[in-house]
Amino acid sequence: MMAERMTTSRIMREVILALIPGFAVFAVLYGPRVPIHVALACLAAITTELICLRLRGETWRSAVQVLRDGSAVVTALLIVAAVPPAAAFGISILAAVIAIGLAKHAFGGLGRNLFNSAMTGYAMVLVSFPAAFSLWPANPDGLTGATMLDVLKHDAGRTLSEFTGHPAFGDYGAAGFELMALAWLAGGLYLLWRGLIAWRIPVGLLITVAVIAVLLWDGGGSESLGTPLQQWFAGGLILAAFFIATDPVTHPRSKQAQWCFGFIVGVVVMMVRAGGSFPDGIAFGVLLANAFTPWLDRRFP
Amino acid sequence: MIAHRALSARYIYSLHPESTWVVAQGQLVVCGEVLAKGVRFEHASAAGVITSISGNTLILETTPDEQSVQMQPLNGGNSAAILRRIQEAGIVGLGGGGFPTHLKLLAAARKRAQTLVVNAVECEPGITCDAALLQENQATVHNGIDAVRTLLELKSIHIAASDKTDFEYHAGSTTVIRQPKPTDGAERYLVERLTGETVPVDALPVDLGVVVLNVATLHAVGQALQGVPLTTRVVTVFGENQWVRIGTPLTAFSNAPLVCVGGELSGADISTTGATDKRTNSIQTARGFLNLPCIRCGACDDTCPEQLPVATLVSLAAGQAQSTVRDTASRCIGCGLCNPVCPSSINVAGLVRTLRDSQRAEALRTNNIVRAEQRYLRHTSRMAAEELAQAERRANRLARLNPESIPISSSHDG
Repeated sequence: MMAERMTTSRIMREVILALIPGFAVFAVLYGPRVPIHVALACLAAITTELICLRLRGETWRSAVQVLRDGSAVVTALLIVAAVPPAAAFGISILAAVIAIGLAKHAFGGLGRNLFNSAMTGYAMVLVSFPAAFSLWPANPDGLTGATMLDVLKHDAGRTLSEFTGHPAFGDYGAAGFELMALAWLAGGLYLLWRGLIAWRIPVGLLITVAVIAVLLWDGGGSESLGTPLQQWFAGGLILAAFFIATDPVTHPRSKQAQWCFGFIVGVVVMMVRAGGSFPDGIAFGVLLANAFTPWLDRRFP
Repeated sequence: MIAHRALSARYIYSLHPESTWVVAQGQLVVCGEVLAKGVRFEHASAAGVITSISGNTLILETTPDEQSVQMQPLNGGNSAAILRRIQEAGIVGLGGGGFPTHLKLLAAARKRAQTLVVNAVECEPGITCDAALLQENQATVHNGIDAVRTLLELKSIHIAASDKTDFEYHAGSTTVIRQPKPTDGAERYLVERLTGETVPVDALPVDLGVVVLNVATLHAVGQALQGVPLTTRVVTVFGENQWVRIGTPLTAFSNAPLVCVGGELSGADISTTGATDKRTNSIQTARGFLNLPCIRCGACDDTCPEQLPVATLVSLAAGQAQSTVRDTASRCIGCGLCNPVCPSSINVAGLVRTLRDSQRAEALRTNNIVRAEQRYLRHTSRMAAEELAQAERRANRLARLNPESIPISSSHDG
């Protein structure tokens, strides 16, 4: 009766497909450590999932059946996309174990988690090993250094126009990040076209970030936090908007609630970017908004 | 010509809470004899012996003789006599609702309904029993419609059927529903489509003066006037229409899991006894569900024509507490559109239906209006019974004079 039947594993396959262009750019820019991170994180996620399913009383056969839905691989990929390739491989492995074991199975498995599992794992390693996350290369050529978001936050001595030619700045966003963001955007638009994600969340999030960025832009003065375009194409914002905040398990259901959800993520991201001590606020934005989800579902049924 | 399904070795009947068995174990009955009395009458659909009555389930083993009994034909008669006849013939909504038809018509009469909608829209792919009945037994359907015209002061009669059905009614406008959608058969949607009036979510069509009856229900009314109680109905069995006796064990069709109301979309196994009942309009093989975890993708929310928070209802049914939306389940029209879109292969429609039915049962227990109407019905029934008894005495006098006329079974004395 339907032209094609959507299944959970099919949705996950589509999401993995949509992540491919981003990972391709990621690997081309930052080298062979990216695929190694991917392989190790996937292995860690799958192993943890199997162990948890066995501990929860599933037979080997049914555990493998559950594993085939592909959600563990998606979680691992999202973690790797957020971890600097120069960081120790143990970082992404630990994040994957926490994501699957604590955020997913301790809450009851697929569909029952309150918090986005990938971002829970990522946030745990971020606050535990902050040094590893200063290893984001400022641009594809340099080793490590201040990213554009760091420069905008901390270098208050220069106006925006004086940053032209700074190695951390690209043509419209952050060096390196802007290319990756374009690739994530391509994947995100594919998911939107396939009707697999709720469009109000990325749109609400991007609008909120743009509005706050305009408010803080002050025409490009020395206290400026950069243009809306620079904010969009820096850090992991596009990735988060289309792939992370749109995790259907942890976002609310109704239209109004989804607008609110995108707004909350955007506000927290910009608060961290403007004044926080972490490189980016994506994980905190998503996790805080996740905490609002049950209330939003009740408030806007 | 609709074929009659071969006699089964046994038939199984279930008792509704508002009725009581009037037969005993070991008793011999003939086809058409009353098994249960009350708000919902049940009749034996074949001649045989009652081998077991345990609680709400009665099992009848058939004997080869084809003896049957009928009621006195009801020609003319006042409203109370017609309503009583509909009750005693055991007629309930045959479209799948199963609500007692005499109660529905009583409510329509009290609300002075002026519009009758004959529902022959089969919105589920693969179910054609209503269309077949409409084409083959128009005269009996006409008699049923005429009985409703006696009860209600009708101003208009709509016959809603899909464009594949060939039917003309002399006194009503025939409304053809082209390419019916899965929602078109639902009362509220049908009324809106035919009259342009929207039925509020907390109201019934009868509140707008519209009474919707399935064509099979009207056919049964037509037969009841001729004295034939409801013991058989047309069912689409694996795509073929057959007259199937009420209470046919599902194993007589197939040993595979079956759905016995609705089809591909809304199909449900409503049977508690493992046999067909009056609501059964189709026999199809049940589709398996994997029932994987819900990932809250919201596909069911987006497809729901009533815009119910389906995903939240599913988590509610799974025991995850979110009681604020609980009441919305009662608005489910049971179209089943949520099932094919679920990526986790969950029986979404089944879960929501279970919630809805438990809520409706709760509402019925606490609803004073329903209780008041049942009191009113008992009163009118008593009045009608006296009138009927008079008529019977007259008929029996006639029968003594002319032995060829049909005898009235003692179990029909009211």
